[in-house]
Amino acid sequence: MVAEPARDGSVQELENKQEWWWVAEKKRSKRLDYLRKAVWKKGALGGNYAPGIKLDLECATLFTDMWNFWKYDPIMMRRAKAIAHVLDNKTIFITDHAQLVGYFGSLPHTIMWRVDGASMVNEEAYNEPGIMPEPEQESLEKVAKLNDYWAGQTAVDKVARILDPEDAVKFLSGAIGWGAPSSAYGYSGKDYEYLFAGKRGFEDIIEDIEAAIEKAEEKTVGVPGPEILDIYDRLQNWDAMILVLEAAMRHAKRYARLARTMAENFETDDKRKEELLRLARTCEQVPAKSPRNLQESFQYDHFVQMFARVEAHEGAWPARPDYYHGPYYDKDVNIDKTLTKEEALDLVGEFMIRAYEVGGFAPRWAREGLQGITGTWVWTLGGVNKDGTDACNDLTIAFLQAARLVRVSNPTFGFRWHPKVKDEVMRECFECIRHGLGYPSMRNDPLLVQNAMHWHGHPLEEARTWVHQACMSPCPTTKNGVQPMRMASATANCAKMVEYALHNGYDHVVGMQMGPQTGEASSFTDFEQLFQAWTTQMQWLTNLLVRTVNLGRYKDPEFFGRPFLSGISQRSVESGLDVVSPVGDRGNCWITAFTWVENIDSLAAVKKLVFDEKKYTMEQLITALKANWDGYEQMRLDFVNNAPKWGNDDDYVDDIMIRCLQATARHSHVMKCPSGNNWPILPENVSGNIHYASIVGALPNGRRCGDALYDGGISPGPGLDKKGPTAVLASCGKIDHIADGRAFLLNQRLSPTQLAGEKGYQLWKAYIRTWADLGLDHVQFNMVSDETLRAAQKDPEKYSEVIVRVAGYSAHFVDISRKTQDNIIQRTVQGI
Amino acid sequence: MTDPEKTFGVINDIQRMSTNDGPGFRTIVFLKGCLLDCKWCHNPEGRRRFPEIIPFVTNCIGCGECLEVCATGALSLNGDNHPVIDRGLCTDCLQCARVCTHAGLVPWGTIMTASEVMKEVFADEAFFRNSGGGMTVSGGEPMAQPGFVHALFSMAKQGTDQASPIHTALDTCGHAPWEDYAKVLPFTDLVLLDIKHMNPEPHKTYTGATNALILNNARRMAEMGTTMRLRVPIIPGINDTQENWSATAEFAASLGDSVQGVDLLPYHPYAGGKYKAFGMDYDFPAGEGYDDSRLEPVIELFLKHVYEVTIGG
Repeated sequence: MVAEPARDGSVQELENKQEWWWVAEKKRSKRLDYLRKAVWKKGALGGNYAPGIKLDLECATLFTDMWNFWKYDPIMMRRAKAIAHVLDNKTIFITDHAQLVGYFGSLPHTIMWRVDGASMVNEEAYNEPGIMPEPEQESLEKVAKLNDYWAGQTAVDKVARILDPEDAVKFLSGAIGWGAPSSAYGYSGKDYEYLFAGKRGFEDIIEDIEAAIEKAEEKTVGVPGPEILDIYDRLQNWDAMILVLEAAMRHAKRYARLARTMAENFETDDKRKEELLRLARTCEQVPAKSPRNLQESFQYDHFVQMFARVEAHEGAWPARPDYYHGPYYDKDVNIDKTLTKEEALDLVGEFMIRAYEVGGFAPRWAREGLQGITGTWVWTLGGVNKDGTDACNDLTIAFLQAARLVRVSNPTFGFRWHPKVKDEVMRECFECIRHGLGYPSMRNDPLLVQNAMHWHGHPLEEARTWVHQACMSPCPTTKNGVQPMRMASATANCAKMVEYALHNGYDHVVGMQMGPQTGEASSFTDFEQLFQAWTTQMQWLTNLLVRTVNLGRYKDPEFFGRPFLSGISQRSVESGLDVVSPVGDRGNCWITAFTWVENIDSLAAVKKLVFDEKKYTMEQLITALKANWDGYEQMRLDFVNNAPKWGNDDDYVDDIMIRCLQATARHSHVMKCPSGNNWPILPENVSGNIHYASIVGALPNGRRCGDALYDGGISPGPGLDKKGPTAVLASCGKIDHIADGRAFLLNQRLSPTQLAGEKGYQLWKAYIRTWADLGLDHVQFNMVSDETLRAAQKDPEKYSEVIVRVAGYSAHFVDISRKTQDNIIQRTVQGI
Repeated sequence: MTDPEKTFGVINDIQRMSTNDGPGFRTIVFLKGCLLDCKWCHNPEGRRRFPEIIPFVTNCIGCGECLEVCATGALSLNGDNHPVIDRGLCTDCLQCARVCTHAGLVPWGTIMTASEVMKEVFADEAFFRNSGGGMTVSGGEPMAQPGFVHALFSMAKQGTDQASPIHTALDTCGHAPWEDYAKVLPFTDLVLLDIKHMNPEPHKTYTGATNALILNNARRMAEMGTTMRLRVPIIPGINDTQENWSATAEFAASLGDSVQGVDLLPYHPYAGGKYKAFGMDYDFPAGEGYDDSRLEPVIELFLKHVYEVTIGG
């Protein structure tokens, strides 16, 4: 193996050249450097796992063995015993130089396999090249055996059987949405208020559960009547929770034993020996008892995340680490001075690396939709305390600094901005963005708190605890506010709304009648008829998805069961119900609206060119669309260039955006979740714009089937925002970010030259103030990297908005010659 | 005051959220038409005063549709099958651009009223307010359309029902009659004034006029107390001599407190790409750009005379 060439030059020189990876390498400690490089990347690129990544068969086998053995137990108890068996027997390891432990797989290079989640996924695992552990043939036989056992018995299989057959076929077609209506393949918020703010170790929780059992048992030996009948089920659930919490504590103690054994028998370096002994003491303390210092606090949190992932796939990682661990940082670093700032930074960096390490096997559509990452782990920083005061602390700053040292793509941060955030914190956020990390995204906290109260009736103090449940959606971390199961499974491929409105509900890509018959569009005589058809399709599509998820949620305690998650949630500890049960849950769902803006640009183009200017007839348009614009290039260019596009501060099309959002918001108050609460939409895309490219047909915005869709949320189509970033913000500012939806994703490209130096920071800060003045809830920044500029060279049509700013000189990047472009790439971004 | 609805100007481009050419976020209004003839001109599309056809030969597919509609015979195809315009025959009717589907022939220059321009400028008022920014008129040479600049700036200073008055900057070569400046300056917060050469002879050779009017205007602006930044393009082999730097710095110092700072604008060869796309020859040697490190002694020299020196403005 050839060693990486050493990078010459001082940190300053590397910073000047914006070679941020090398800057990080030079700046971080030796420990952090080792840990960062020792970690296996689990994210898939181009849909494929990196060489060497293997499917974890050990945990799947252990789980299945015990699940099969206890086949006559009720589901919660049966799963609790299977999970306990995994925790008691799986291989564990401690990475050299690590101060935090815990991986949900059996080896550092394995990806977890949720064997009881979905047969379809199991079959994909069997067929996925390269991921079978050696010897491959033997592994394939094991997998085949497990797949045979689980076929038809997984959580998703059970839901699919009871769905309305027509709904099931349409949902599973993959055309109108994605996701699995089960908590097996979702993610869960955690009741951090109960665990962390409430300072509870698992022993304390077990005491709470035992108290609840005692109270319940007074009734089961008391007066007979219908009200005591469901207590028997609850008692079983409580027992399952205790069983799994005890197994979790035993599991931590296995790490303590391993660390102690290594320290006492094998380790020769005194310093490392002391670290291992500290690690042993840490794992003896947490999760059994509440943490005493920062290391224990991080370790406790990490254990909780791992146990939840032994139980379910957990494709997101809602967390607010600065808020919940901040008091321990303050104690260790500022008060007791048991940790130096540098030592603390090492721990913070390692905490991020341990999360980066985590990855489970995901089906191809999810890998394509989440390019390069294993789930949406957007950790929340900043924000306010429950009383509205600034919650930023020294640990907020440490996380933002550590991010630049470890440079991982997962977790990323979302920053809860509010007017009281101090300048020193803003500078740290800006440095992360300037270093090309792409995060933190900025979230408008006062507005989102109000939004949470508007849509879901969260009380003010509860709303103020919000974290990113996945990439975008704010959910509280409280007893009634926490979201126990991904209720965004209603992930809608919204471009289908306008597509079906134009084709009488028929899907020409899938080749079947999907939506309701809203009339032959070729006979529409005015825009209102088209808009009416769109509204009907929108309602049909969202109804179908919401019905499916609602059913999955309602049946999940029966089909899947979450003994561990229930055991760490106050609501379940008190009630004895599976935490996924809607009883006592406030309900805070949202529809993740993929490919939303295509609707707006398409409707605007039809209104303008067909109904207003009468340049084309509806019949001509439908014919061209059915031909995928093939043979109609001149006409297609007209629809691209001469119809107004969202994001240019043009009321003609912006009004259509507002109209569509308002129509959907009205429907959001009609559709209800299992707790009886509203279902607002949340436009965002992850990288679904690529996944859906071949699934969405030709559209009147000039898009052909196969073209990538817009990059998401309420961001304008690439190259279609001709008037620059301020006009984009002006358009977005017309949306009511409280009443029109749950949140709205906006991507902005910035050029490194514009952000250079102190002037760049001051401009960015002014930008953020304006963004907040305009009432937007989200923005994330992509630095225009040389990759982007190179892509612009290849595909100029899509990048015409990339402007090269040099004083006194005016040009759009794609308009200038190749040689000049090369020169500018050298000038703006050198190296990586 | 002139009626802004009836004051027309010819606009090349309106660039929002610019971070150059003045403080804060700026909307730059590039006007069409120029008063000088600089050999290194970076914006050749800004030189002629009225809307015209600019060929983008790199976009042209050689279909010949444009030749069909050209009634004066001004268009022909060259050996590469790209359109060539005989400016003597062309009447700027712009019909060829209407039939061109590949943006090979582009109408350059839009006639707009002052109100139309200001509507777009005021759209970013929130950005200006938060960043201390505003509008800059540039060119071409904005003082080729002094009445229009006057209309724009007086509206900018008046504000609207929704927007407060905004900061105004004039990016000018200085080569316009004083009475035009006298009309515009009361509405101007900052003048970005180019000083291209201190010696009148080379100034005439490379820009087509001597610097007499420019230096005189600069002195009169200073007398009025106009806030100025001097913008000094650094053109290899033309003005990058010790002698010229010293003279420029001393001139800046002689203008007193009016001069807020000096912006050095090192030559870059990017314009060569534009000329090529337009099918024009770029006489100026398209050498390498000017490396910033070469400017350190120049900065030191200027700092002896003025408070602030930047590279790139």
